[in-house]
Formats: sequence, C-alpha cells, structure tokens
Amino acid sequence: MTYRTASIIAYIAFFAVVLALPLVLNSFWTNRVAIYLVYSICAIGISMSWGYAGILSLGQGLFFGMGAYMLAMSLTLAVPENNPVPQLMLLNMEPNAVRDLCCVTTGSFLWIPFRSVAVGMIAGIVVPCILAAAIGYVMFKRRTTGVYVSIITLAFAVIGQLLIINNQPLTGGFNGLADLALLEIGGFEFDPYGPSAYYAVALTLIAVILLARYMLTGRIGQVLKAIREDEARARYLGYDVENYKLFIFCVSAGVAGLAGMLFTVTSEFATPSLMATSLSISMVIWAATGGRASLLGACIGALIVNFVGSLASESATFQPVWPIILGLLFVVVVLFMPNGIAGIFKAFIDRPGKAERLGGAKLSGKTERPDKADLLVKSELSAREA
Amino acid sequence: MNAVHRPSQAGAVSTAPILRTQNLTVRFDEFPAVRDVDLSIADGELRVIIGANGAGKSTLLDLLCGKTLPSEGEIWLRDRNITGIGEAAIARSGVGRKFQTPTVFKDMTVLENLQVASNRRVRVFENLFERVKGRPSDKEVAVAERTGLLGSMKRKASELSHGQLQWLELAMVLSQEPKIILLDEPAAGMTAAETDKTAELLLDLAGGHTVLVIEHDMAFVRRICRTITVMHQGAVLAEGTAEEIERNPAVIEAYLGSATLSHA
Amino acid sequence: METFVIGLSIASILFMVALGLAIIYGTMNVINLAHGEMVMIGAYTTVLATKHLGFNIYLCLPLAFLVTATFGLIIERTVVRRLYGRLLDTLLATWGIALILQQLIRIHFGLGLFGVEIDGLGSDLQNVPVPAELQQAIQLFGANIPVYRAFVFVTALALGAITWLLMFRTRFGSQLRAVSVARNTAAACGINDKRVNMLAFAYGSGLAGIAGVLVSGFKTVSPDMGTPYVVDAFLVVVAGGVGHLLGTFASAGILGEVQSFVATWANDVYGRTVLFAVVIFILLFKPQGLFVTKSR
Repeated sequence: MTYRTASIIAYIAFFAVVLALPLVLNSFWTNRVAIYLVYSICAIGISMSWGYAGILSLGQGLFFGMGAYMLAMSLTLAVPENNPVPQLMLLNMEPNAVRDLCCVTTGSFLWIPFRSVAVGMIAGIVVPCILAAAIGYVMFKRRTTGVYVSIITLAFAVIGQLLIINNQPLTGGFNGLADLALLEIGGFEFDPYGPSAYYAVALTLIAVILLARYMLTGRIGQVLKAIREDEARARYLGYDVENYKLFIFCVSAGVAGLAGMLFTVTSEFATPSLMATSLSISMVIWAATGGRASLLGACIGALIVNFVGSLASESATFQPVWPIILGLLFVVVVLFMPNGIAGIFKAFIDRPGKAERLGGAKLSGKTERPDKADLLVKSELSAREA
Repeated sequence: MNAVHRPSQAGAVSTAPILRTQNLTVRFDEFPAVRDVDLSIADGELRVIIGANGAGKSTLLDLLCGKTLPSEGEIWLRDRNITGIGEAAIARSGVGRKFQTPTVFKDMTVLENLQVASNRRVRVFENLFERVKGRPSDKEVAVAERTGLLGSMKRKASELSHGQLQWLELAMVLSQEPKIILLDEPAAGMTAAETDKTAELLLDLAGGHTVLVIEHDMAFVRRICRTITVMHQGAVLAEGTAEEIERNPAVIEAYLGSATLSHA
Repeated sequence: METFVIGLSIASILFMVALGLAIIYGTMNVINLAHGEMVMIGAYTTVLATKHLGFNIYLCLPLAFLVTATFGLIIERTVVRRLYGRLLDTLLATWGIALILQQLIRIHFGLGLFGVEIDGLGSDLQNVPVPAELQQAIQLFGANIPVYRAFVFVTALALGAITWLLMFRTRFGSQLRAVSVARNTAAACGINDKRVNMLAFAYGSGLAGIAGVLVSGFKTVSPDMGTPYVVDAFLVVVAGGVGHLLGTFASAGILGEVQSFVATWANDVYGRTVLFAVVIFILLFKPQGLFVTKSR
C-alpha cells in the first residue's frame, strides 16, 4: 500500500467516523464533540499557514474570536428582549441616552447591520479576513519573517482582547456575549445539543478539509512550500512572495473566523477568552500534535488533545495534572515527533519491512535511466577510493 | 588548458545591448561597493566579470537582480528600466540569477523544483486551482537532460551532491527562460570533472542565451569567454579579451602578485 | 512626576526581565516563553522564604536568583539544548514548560494531589510583606516618591551594571559575546559553547527571578502572573535591538514610561494597547531595533 492510498483511506475513515458519531453519542457528548470539531477547523487553519507556508501565527485566536463575536452579535439581537437595544447596552448606557442602536452607547451603531443574521454570518468570515489582510499586508510588505511574525500576531491578539474587555458598553466586556438565540436558517433551528448543529460543524469541517486539500495539493500548495523552503529563491523565480503569504494568511484567518462562528453556534457564547494567548498557542500545539503539514493530522490532533483534556477534567485525580500533561505534550511533540501523528502514520506505512520492495523499485528505476551526473560522481568517488 | 575552440557566434549576436547599466552605484555606510559602472551586454553574449575579493562583483549581480537597491544609476533590460521594481518583477522581466551557494528548495524533489521554476504563471489567483502533474513536461525533461539531472527527478534536492545542487539551480534558472542569466561562480566547490562539465554547459548555453558570469579561476575563464570585464574597488577597470586584459598595465598594476591572474 | 516614577519602576522591572531574555535570545537565538515563569518562581520564592524561613526581601534577592538560575539550568539541559536552530519549535516547547511550572505551583508541586498543602502555594493570590523602611515615601521636587519604587529602580541599575561588567570585563563575558556573534568560529577557537549557553540561560533566568522578588513587593503573586512579562520583555528586547545592552536599557525606559503615562492619561488597558502598538510599529519598520545603526 502506498502512502497516498493509505492517506485516502484515512480521510474516508475519518469522515465516516465523524458522520457516524452522533448515532452513538448522547446529547452532552454530541455537543462536546461538535466543539472539538470546531477546534479541528482551527487546527486546519494553522496547518495551512504554518505547515504549508511556514507562517506561524500566534494570534489565530484573534480571528477565531472575531468570527465568534460577529455571529454572537447577530444572535444577541435575535433575542426578543434585546430589541431595540441589547440588555448589555442598557446596563451600561448614560442615563439619558436615546434607546436606539444608533447612539445608545458609544459605537453602538456598529451593531446595526447585525440585525440581520446573514450579515453576521458573512461578517464572521469577511471581518477576520480583512483584519488579516491589513495585518498581513504591513507585515509581509515589510518582509517580516519567522519569529517576528509570531510575536506581532500574538501582540495583535492581545490588543484585540484588551480592547474587547475594555469596551464593555459595546462588547459586553469581560463577560462577553451570552444568552444568545439559537441560529436559525430558513426556519431550521440549529440545536447545539442535537445532531443539527453537530452536522453543521461536521459538514463544514469536511468541506474545509477537502477544499484546503484540493488547493494545497495543487500548484499553489507547491509554490507555498517553495516559499517556505527558500523565500528568496521563489522571488528570483518571479513569484511575488508577499502576495502568496498574504493569501494563505487571509485564508487561514477566514477558516479561523468560520470556526469561531461555529463555536458560537455550539457553545452559545462568545467571550474575550477566545482571543487569549493561551488558546492561540494551544491551537498551534493541536496542529503540531497531529502533524503540522497534514490537514487531517492537524484535525485529529485537535480532537485527541481536547477529548483527552475533557476526560481528564471530569476526573478529580487527573484534573489538576492535566495542564502538566498538556505541557509535557508540547515538549514531547516538539522534541520527539516534529511531524506529529501524521509523521508516525507515514513512518508506519513506509516501515522498513516494506523498504525492500520500495527500495528495489527505486534502484531498478535508476539503472534503467543511467544518470550522467550520478555516474560522474560515482566514478569520482571510486577514483578517490582507489 | 585554454585550447577549447568555440564556433564563431558573430552571426547570432545582435549589436543592441540586452542589458545596460548607467552610472550604477551603491554605497554601504558611505562606502562605495560599486561605483559608476556602465555595463553593456549584447544579445547572446557570454561575458565574464573578474576581480579580486571585495571588488564588487557579487554586489553588481545583486544590483542587477534587485537584491540590493542602487544608490544611483539605472539598469535597463532592452527598452525597460528595471531599476527598483523589485526582485520578482525583475525576474519576470527576464533576469535569472544563480547564486554562489546554491539556493534550491531542499525539501522538494528535483522535479518539483523544476516545476516551480518553469511555471511562468506566477500570480496567486492564476495558480489557485491549477493541478500539479506527476510527470515532467517535455520542457522539464529537456532542461534536466541538459544539466544531467534526468535520473534524479524523483530525488529530494537535499539528497543531491554539491555539484548537482549547482546544476539544479542552473536548471531552475534555465526553466525560467530568462533573457539574461547571471551566474555567480558556477564552478565554485566543484570537483575537476564537475568543473569540466560546467564549462561545457556554459559554452552550450552561449549563443542561445545571454550569460553574465562571475569567476575567479582564470583557466576556467579563458575556456569559456571572449570578453572579460575586470572590476577593481567597485569600478570597471578594463574590458577586453583575455589577452588584452593580461597585457593591460592597469590590470597588471592592480593585480600585481595576485595569484588569480599570474598563475592562471 | 509620580507618573514618571511609576513609569520608571515599570521600566526597571521590564529591564530586568528583558535583560535576561536578551542575553538568552542574543546568545543562542532562543525565545524562552517560560521566562515569565521565572519571574513567577522568583515571586513565589519570596513568598515561601518570608513565610517559612523568616527571610526579608533583601535576602530573597540572592536566593531567588539561585533558585531560578537552577530552574533555567535544568530547562536548558533537558529541553532547549536539543532545539538550537529551531526557533519556532523552542517557542512551543518553552510554552509547554511554562504551563507545567504554573500548574506545579497550583498543585503544591504535586503534593496537593496527596492532600499535602504548602502554605503560600496553590491557586490563591499571595502577598509579600514589605519591610517598613521601604513602605515610606520621600519628598523629591515636591512629589511623593515611594521608597519601594526607588529601591526597585536602584536594584535594576545595579543589576544592569553587574551584567555590563560581566559581559565586558570577564572571561565568561567575552566568551558569551564571541558565541553570540559567531558560534562555530568561537567553538572552533576552543570555547565550550554548550557550557556558555547553559550558563547564559541560567544567568538570564536568575535575573528574571530577581525581578520576580521585586514585583512581589507591589503586586499580588499568582501562578499565572508571569505570562504578560515575557511578551512585554520580548518586545523590549526587540525594540532595543537584539544583543545591545544599552538598547535594552533605553527601550525598557521608553516603553515603561509610555505605558505609565498613557495609563494615567486614559487607563491601564490603553496603556498596554499603546505599548503593543508602539512595539508592533518598531518591529515592522525598524526590526533591527531602535538604537542600532544599520550596518552591513
């Protein structure tokens, strides 16, 4: 079995399991697993920018949080008591302010478009993309690379979080937005504890994986990989490296925003903690655990880490040690399995027992087409030995 | 060593310069690394630039390919002013650069390296839904054959020998179909056999391509080249055939005792 | 004036944390995200030593230095050493270490699992008693200057001076500088670069530990107190120019004052926001640092 066949089987098996799970899970676990699948989508976003293009964003939570807030704003306004003005604004307004979204608190007019859920849903992807485009444009045009990108994105996420906490009359502050209406599209309601929301997440996840895989196994994936390997060389071949980086950075942000929206649907709240540094870094470690350059790996990494984490938090004994296990996982993954679970899977498929056949094929391939340069080098070597 | 005969290129060479620099100057902290260089390369020419370490040869190539921005002066590719338009745009307008230490995509196969290089539709959205072929195109086979990499197509670049890496980078630059190729010491770090092969390759390129080469090794230079440009302290000191250069008093003075010329 | 002095003490803490980070980043090109946890451990060392050993804050300074330097040594030997040249990976691994250290404090080094609790550890907030002489304020140019803030400032200056002496007047310092400029050449010249790394890491961690002692005097101590420091300190290092002691000093001063003044003028959150924005601009437009003249 080649690695390619094996990975196709793995994809199909994964999709089958994801689609079948609600049949065996109770409503509590349906909801939990739906949330883990949301995290999987985040990990895919990380894998796209980090694994394929070498851009390590430590501020992915910013885009995730933005997505969550956009939809949460719409779902807040969808609750009857929050009209014409959300409760959180009534609590924070000046005593004699006009009770209208236009001017009840400073900046409250920003909420007006979100009376439409459709606007909220579109904004959940578009706003993170625009934000990423703005950040990315400045970063990449200035040729910021490597760890500086990580730190700048991290700093932006911290600013975003601080601003949201600080603007309580507009954003709900530290408590964020809760008591949301259920998402309803065309009269169909997505129940976070039922299969409806679960399948919304699962199908989105599958669509994201397939689209991302189609794109990244194509020409653009090849160019991104080339940029990751040697940015300067890609430039001297005529590629506008900045545009490629900007593109994948924005796509990754859009994916994170999409995940954020689904998070709002499944957990019914949006808080500034979604933008916390720790969550952003956790996303990276989910992707690293599964395999940074493997979309499916990243996805499974997110599922496993969160699932085990959740089991641990159920148990009184393991709950206090879980952060330590998680910390150790960071260290162990980085030290001993840089390609994550996907790397182990690949090593297993290409394991030594099969090397005979594969290696033999490789050798015979070489003798069929003798390589001048190879022969030259070989004769060089034998001459030296003699 | 200088007994390699070349067919005359006179018929193929047009007189209009393909690359022209005017007054090209760059200063680092007020130190002029390249000063007032007026270079003119004819179509199909194979030109070698020689000079001691620090004479400004590599910096000149850096200026030509956009890696370094000139402090003064202009670079023209045919009728187009390419000064300061950025590395990628310069590359697209037809300048290919090979570095002294080969820069290739190490974690990709030879074929993938060539595919990235030969893909001339370089914009993001042109590539968005493009598929990648598993087999090399005729063009890629041809360039691999020419550089002796045909048997290594499926190997990762990181598994190649140093000489092969040099050829791979050259093959990539060729795949780019540039109007002019800039080569920085293409034979550096090569074994004698590899150097021979590289010299053959360069001669083979000349005529069909315009090539600008930096080289240290005078024996190598004599084999491949008719016109030599000598740089000294950032400026062009002399220009002419190998014989003229070696008789030129200014060159002799600047390089008196220098192993590069006297022992060549 | 009060604002200025507060800014100065923020800057002093930043400087001490950043100095350690700068040495580590400058020497081995590693960003230690567990550096903030060294501040936290320094603070907890103070809590424990004052509670159980009856130490005062002065005695805690060298103690915390030793404790955190030991932690740094262990981290370098077990994890960071294996990751040289993989900068982004060190970020992740050291973040993992940070998580572990925080949680170890919360669960009383693991004893909490067996019902043993140590007074001063756990998830609760802790306070450290400050000696009476440091609680006073002095009058200077008509302003009230808290003595503690001045003490922090003087300690930072002293540490800066010691570090300068260490870097430029000792054999170890010249080895350190050699390794940070050209590791391989230095190693080829017979410098044991692994040993230099290890000691630099330990020394840098120790500095953060001392900062932790001082922080504990005016802020409550908690397991996750360290996290903000590492980001701020890294920003200071980069803004000042990697490997430039004076740059780190100056940028800590500027950033501390910026934060303090904006915080008084608007509020704390805007103080930090502006701080971050300033640094993002520096990173984008002058990534080699504010005080480094461009060289080739």
